[in-house]
Amino acid sequence: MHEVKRAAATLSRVTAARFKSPHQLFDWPSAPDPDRLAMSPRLISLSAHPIWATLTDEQRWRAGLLETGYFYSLNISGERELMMGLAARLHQGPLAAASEYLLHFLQEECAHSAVFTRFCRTYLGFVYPDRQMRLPRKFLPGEEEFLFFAQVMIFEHLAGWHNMANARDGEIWPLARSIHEYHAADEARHLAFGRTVVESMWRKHSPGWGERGREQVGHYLRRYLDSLQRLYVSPFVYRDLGLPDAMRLREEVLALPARKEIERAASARAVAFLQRLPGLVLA
Amino acid sequence: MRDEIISRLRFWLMRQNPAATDYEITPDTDIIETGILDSLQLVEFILLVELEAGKRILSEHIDGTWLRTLGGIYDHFFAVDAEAA
Repeated sequence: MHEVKRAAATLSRVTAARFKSPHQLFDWPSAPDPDRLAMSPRLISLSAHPIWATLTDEQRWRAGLLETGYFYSLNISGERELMMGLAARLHQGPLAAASEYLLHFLQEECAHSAVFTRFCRTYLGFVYPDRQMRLPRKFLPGEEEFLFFAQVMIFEHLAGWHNMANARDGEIWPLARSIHEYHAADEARHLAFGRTVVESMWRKHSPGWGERGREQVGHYLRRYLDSLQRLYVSPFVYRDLGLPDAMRLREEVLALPARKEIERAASARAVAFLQRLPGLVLA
Repeated sequence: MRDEIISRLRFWLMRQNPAATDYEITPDTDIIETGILDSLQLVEFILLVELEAGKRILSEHIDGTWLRTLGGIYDHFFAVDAEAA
């Protein structure tokens, strides 16, 4: 874990120098910009579906706002899990030596959640509920630690891709764009740390799992990635837009080639990284 | 009504998890204990039940027994509405 400690020390210095209170980062208008979409149009999940052509401009604008709120809500859920996991590892286990950076990491995740929550409560009036729950299961030695950080890394890669794709669109509502930029910048450091930890844990634990164990871990991560990609398309957003048969509509959206391409692009870096780990097959 | 909803939920479970066809998923089968439903499928399953029932599912519903069987899900999330209808 020497490389983890070294990465943590470097990232701690950078984070300490750059951290700003989330409450002073943005100007928060009382209402969303009525003339701009909150999300880049191609990322609005409905935009490639035939129903998009039937929506009014007002409905499209609302779709952008709700999907942005939903994306931030999804991040609030992921960050809650992450913060709980980081807090549990602060002073015990293999990462205790990196606790100074873990505290910075926690502070930044807490700040992100504050920003996302404020956006959702101010402009939607609510945060979309967290539906991720964990069921107890048995793990191979070291597997739970590895999966925790591997899943965090996958989550952050996906979120980071969506952040960057929105941040590059100069036409969207500037506040939403600024939040995406801010989140992407912090996540880049978290990803650097996460990749170091994941690689280190894989090297340490996977030889003891045997081929069958490594297969199971790879299969689990593939399923996690797929289930997370599905979560990016919410039937509750469709319901809140007043669209009928939200579950069926969601399945149709998920089957669209344009959606598959977004999923491929969003996960490409995470998949490439994981597939470089010796003996890990994402299948 | 009860049979129809349980049948729809059972169909979903079997489609998501081919291994579930090895089980007899009765209204009393513990779908968590038997591994028919795992953490990664749980989110999708909750979306389905919430949208069908129009009610929010909370983590304490899993800690309890309501979400562990299809019969429990029906009784807790659907039955009151069905009786009122």
